[in-house]
Amino acid sequence: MNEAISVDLESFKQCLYGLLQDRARRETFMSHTKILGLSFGFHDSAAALVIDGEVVAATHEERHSRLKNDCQFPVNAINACLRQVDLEKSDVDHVVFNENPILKFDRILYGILCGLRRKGLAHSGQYLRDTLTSWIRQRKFIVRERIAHDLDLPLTNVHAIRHHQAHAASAFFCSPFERATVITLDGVGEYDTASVSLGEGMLLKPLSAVSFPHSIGLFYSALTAYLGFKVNEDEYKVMGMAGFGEDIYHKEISCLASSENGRFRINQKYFNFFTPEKLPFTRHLVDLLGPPREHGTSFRVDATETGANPDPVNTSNQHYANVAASLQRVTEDLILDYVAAAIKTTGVSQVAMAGGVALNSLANGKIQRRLGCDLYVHPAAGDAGGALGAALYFHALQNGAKRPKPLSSASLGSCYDENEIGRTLEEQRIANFIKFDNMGATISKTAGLLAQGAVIGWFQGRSEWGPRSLGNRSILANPCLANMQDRINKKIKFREPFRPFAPAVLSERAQDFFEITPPHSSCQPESFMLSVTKATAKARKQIPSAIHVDGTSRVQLVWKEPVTAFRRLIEDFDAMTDIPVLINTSFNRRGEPIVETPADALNTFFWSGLDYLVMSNFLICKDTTV
Amino acid sequence: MTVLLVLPDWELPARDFRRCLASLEMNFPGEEVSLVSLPKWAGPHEKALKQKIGTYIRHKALSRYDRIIFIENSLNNEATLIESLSEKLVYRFDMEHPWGRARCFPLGKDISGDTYPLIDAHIFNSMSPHQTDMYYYFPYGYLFRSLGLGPINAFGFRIDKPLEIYVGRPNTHKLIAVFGGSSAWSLDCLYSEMFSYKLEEKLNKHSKDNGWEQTFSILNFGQHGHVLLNELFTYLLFCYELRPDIVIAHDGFNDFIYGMTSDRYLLDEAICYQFNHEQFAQKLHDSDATPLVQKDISRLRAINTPQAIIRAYNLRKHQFRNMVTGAGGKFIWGLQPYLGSKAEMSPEERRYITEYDVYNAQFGEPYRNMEFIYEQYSPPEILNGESVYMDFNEKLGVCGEDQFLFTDFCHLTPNGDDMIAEIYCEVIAGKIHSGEWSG
Repeated sequence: MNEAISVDLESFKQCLYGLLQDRARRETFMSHTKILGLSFGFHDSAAALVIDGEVVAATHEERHSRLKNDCQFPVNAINACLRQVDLEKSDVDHVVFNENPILKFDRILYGILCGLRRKGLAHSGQYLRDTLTSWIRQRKFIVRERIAHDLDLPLTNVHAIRHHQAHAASAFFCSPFERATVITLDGVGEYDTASVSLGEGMLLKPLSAVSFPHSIGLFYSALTAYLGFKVNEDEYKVMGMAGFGEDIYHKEISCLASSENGRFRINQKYFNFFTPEKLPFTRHLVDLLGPPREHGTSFRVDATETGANPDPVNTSNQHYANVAASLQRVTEDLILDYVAAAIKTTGVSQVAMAGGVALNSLANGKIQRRLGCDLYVHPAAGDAGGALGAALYFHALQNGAKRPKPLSSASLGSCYDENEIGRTLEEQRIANFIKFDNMGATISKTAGLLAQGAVIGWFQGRSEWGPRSLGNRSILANPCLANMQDRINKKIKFREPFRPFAPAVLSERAQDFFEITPPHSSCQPESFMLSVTKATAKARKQIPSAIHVDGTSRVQLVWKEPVTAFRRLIEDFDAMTDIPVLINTSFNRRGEPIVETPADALNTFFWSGLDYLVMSNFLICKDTTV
Repeated sequence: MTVLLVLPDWELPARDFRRCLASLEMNFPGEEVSLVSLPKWAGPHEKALKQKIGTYIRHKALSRYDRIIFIENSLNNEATLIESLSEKLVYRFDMEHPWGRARCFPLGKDISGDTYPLIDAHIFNSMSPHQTDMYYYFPYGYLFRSLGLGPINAFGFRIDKPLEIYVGRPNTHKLIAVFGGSSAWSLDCLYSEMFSYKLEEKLNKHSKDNGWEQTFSILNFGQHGHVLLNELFTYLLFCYELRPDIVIAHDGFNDFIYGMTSDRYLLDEAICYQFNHEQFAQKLHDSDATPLVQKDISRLRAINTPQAIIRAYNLRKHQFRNMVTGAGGKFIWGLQPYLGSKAEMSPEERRYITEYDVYNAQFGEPYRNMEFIYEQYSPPEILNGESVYMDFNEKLGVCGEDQFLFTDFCHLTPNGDDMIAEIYCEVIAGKIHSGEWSG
């Protein structure tokens, strides 16, 4: 009974911000500086709200607009952030944008001039015309004015900082480190593609940067396009594909990018970063690696295939998997070299990272293991995270600013209480559900269903910040069942059969299943599913569906504190099965944003092969029998 | 009438060129065609053309011709310019558009009786905007006019003969009526390529080859956007007296799509409708303040469950079947295929998905849902020998990437339509041959 009460309390706490109607609390907030950080205009728009150094809300626009990687002005995300603390737009003191548009345009002009030599006047002229048109139409030259207008704020209260400053701030000020080597790595900001800073207290001291066109992010994205995936969206699929390949093209891929003492260079002969066309690589890359993989072709690899007449699709796919494996290995080498050199420069082995490249969980695992450093990666390391970074950067500039608390939870989005869920069920005329009296009963029933092999949509508390579902908007399943990976990929997510699933494991039992150092911090990358590690023999035997073909897993550690419904669910599942692990994958289908609202969850539930949906204390079924 | 055909300088694939010529013949039978020079690439086709070659210097020679027809792509769009300058009837084959490739598209701002003689055949034609691609009001649903792919009748159906001729036909003259949406209409096919036409050819050939006495005529009552309720109305309006011997309901896709977007209350009553109707009502009653079921028409959402949609579809289809069999006809319960039915997409099909960013466009979510609803769809229980279920989703599951069958998400290429015709032919001929559907 007490347990049930404690979990219910936790559930209530999770919803606290969403339910905040308390005038006193609001007034407390009103007396502090409220900073709204924004990221938009390229991809993955987002908003984040920081009040007196406390990160009170952060969310992605795509979750609300339902448009994957939405780059529009994040009006829905802004409203969601403000709703969390019952504020109006006019209550915001400062808005900070995560990019300096004029510097960015300057870099684009530089690119066009460089491209002139390679592509000629006609192409470069057309590119300039298209860019100008799009910038004018989307009001990118007057971003601050646009924000001031849309949020009805004086222009003096709207600020723009540099892209990598925002990334660095998101990494360092959310980290648990008082002092850290701060590294940012992405495609490109204004000019920079990577940077090293020294973070100390409330200070971020820039030390060095790498400039466009030498970019690990663009390099990886270009090869992502070569491998038939979408740029700025499908890079993580390349990581999955790499598991099926062998690093036999290391020499070839090393021709494209090289690094020495942290200074990496991308061989521009193979790429077209200056004035990108449909594909960001040149014919030289095709000469080197063969024709690119066509987008949308199916991927299947059967390593056991032998015989005189091999399946041509299998042979071709194996080639691309090998390219992916070599790309991943070379990328890891570049990143490791960059991080190692940065640590050498600062003399600080605690590392905080952000930028899209920091989402490369395979590389993160190797940084931890090979460099032995204490790593923090911002949970929304991509451009969305720049919104929070921008707000924190500006906060740090305020007199007497307090250091934010380490961000050990990604539960920063919106919360939907039982009344809202009940209302949605009523609106949608859904009667086939059970409502449990308390969270303990809900968890117990859910764990039982999971143990029996059900695949369940799990919707609790605030939505997650960042690209990973971490137990608030998740699809959960039993990892012990060998066919589970295939089932979820085919019937629920409708995605490529090669895609792996992540295991969520009780932190204190993680070493039984994964080759990781003893878990030590709820801020470490594994808490946010941002690091890949090898599975133990026991794991390969007992939880086959949560292990990738190459014997690795992108593990999520689930900590004792704070007590969450998700933690309790795994505990109950463990009590029933002696397995403290669940498959945890994002609550969405292929090509869709993660669900945000109860209506989104119901939609995905009814339009996929999910067996049950658990929202707060509601268990929703498809069959008439429960 | 005199026709001037302006060929492009760039080489046109032979197959497309042949379709253009077939389209011309179909749209303007018997009319004399003059060519503006003969480009080098068209040399091998000179024999097939058999037309006189004239000269054409920009707009100077226009006065000599009644119709000017351009074969163009987006980089060469002189037709639009000419159309704006001339009083002449200007047409265009758009070689970049899957539909336009064989479609002699009239560019006139207002189509006239010259282009479509039936434009004023009835009051709802007359009152509709006189445009070439037009959904327009009709008391029993709506009509759709689509010109340029061959004959259509006054209601937009691809039927080239008056229906009365089939009343009182001899017992050996079998009449088959096809119902469905734009896939049954055969949106990307010329008249002679559509599956209903091909099916008629195949059945008559089969009959002749086997020494049967039966002959077959097929009427295509398919129309853009039609759902089962439209099919029921159409059957009542046009087929009651005809008493077709066989009815093919080749549908599913529209009922699934519009089932996703229809009002929940109405769908529970098995009333599935095109969301445009809400806008019609909004305009009629000036009720802008009442939000539409779809809050954002540019990005449609699925608001109903697959179970509810399938229930509504099956209920109406059973109703249709009972009407047909009750009138003495046989009923083919067809489930049409869609792009996802194939085991692998062809390069052209993949290109369509990528170039149009299909899954993020207006129908993105409904299209993403298609795989699931087709998967959930279970065959109906066919209770008697008067009906047969044909699942084309399953039948096309064997097709691989070497077969270019779909021009978009649900419409078929001429090859695709031919495949559909072949499969229907096999089943119908089999039923007749076995004696199950004799008499």
